[in-house]
Amino acid sequence: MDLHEGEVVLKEVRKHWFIMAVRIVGSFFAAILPPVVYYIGAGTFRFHAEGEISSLILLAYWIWLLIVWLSFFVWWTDYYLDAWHITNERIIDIEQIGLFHREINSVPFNRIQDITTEVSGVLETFLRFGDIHVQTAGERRTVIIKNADDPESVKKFIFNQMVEMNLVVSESSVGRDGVSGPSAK
Amino acid sequence: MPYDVGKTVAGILSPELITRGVVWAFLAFVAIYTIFSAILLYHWRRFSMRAHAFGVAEMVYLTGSVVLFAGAIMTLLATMV
Repeated sequence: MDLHEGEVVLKEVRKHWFIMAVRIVGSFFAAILPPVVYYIGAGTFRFHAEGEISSLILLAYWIWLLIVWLSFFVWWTDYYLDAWHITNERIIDIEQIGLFHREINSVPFNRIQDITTEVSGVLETFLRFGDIHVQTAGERRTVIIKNADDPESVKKFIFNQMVEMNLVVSESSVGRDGVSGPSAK
Repeated sequence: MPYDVGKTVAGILSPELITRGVVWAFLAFVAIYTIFSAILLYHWRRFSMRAHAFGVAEMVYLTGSVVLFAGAIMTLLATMV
């Protein structure tokens, strides 16, 4: 990611840790599932693998663990690289989907028209995560980060940056009651 | 009466054929794993904003991979003996 001269990253916004926690738990269950199924199956159908066959089953399990391990890190990469980098000039929206899709959008503060947050659901409300929508005057009208950590504070942070740049007078003058936000300078 | 999976499979395929197939399948898996690992490491080094976080991730990933491959290779050797 190339930054302009004098541009610094002030804040990074990622998906909430809960999203990653779900994947960690999922990976853990995926890892222990085969032995659980084997022992339940062995008990139910009274079969018993011995010698080469038991080694082959064990080898298949090691390979399964390696697949789970690799998948977990692919997810983690997706989680870590899929982020918003808020600089002193703009929002850099990096959309990472798996390993082979990466999209970078740059939203200068003076093109932002409105910022809305959406927190819906019990977990989202208690853990404070949700979607942030930034509406722009650019070609790509809206950039979104889903399940972002503490969307309200991110919204405030962006507004504060815009106030510092004299693009808006105060946060209260923007986006109230769904009305469109700060005008471009 | 308990069902012996080993005897049934051994009756269909010879042990040499099974071993050879398993070794080739394992080598194919190692190749695919290596390619995906290289792509992962490329992403971390090319796109990371924080070298420290990805340095730690790299270490954890590679250590875990080595441990798991060690287990797999030992099991494979036990199959061949």
